[in-house]
Amino acid sequence: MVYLASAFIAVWLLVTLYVAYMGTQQRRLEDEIRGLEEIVERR
Amino acid sequence: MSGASISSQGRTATASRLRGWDIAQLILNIATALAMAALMWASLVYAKPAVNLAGNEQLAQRIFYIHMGCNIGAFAAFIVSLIGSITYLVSRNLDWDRVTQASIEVGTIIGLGTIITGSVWSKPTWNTYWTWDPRLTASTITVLIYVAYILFRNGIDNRITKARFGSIYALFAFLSIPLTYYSARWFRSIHPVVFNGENADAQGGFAIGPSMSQTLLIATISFSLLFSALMIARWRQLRLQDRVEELREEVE
Repeated sequence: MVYLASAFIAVWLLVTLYVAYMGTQQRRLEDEIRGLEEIVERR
Repeated sequence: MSGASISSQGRTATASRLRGWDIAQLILNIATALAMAALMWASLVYAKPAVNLAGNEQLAQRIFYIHMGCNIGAFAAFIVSLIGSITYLVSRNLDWDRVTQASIEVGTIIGLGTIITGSVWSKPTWNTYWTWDPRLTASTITVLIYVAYILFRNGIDNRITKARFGSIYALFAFLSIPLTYYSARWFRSIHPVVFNGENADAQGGFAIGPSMSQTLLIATISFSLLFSALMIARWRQLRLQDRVEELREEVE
């Protein structure tokens, strides 16, 4: 049972970490693009 | 027509295109979540246990479904990266370079899942987490080759050089895929061969019954969907990243 649970948890953990990384990147990029677009529009 | 109205129309068209992508992404995400839930149920409950195995080995056999799912997902990812790199080199359209990068990132994550699940399965079956078997070694080298792609790529500043280098690298990196696939057939390996033939030296193999092959089909579909959902989300993010770079240059 331990082996089965370990294998499933490992795969889900990998996917969850990658999705979390993408989520962080997305928030950072959206904030940055908003700020940059404001600067460009002000010019 | 004034410049302002053209610009406003352009923004509206972009916004509606983005909405279209958002809806497509949402549908794909929901389909992936449902398929993965179905896979969890099928692999843990629906699939009948392997009758030629017992105890921990029989229980660990269920890892096979997620292991094969990861394998198929990674294979699909590396095939798409090959298509992306060839198309970029022919068309020089950066969108295809983003497809290659997104596919390789997702393929590497899922490929790592293949190695981990295989290693956990091999403990109760082969009595060791790791052995330098040709299939295991080839799979690890493949994942490391693609990890190197991500690292080398991040070390290049110029966007066009990055895309060109990345595409050529991805083209050659793909050579490791057929080598990994045939490693259990060409070399003396204890790794079971599931498709197209068998391996006389295999340890831990089993005959696939109807509930097992149906679960394998669900694994194939769900991991293909998982790859597609992650790849498209990352591809869209990489487009956004390039847009940020363009705006930064504009501001400077």
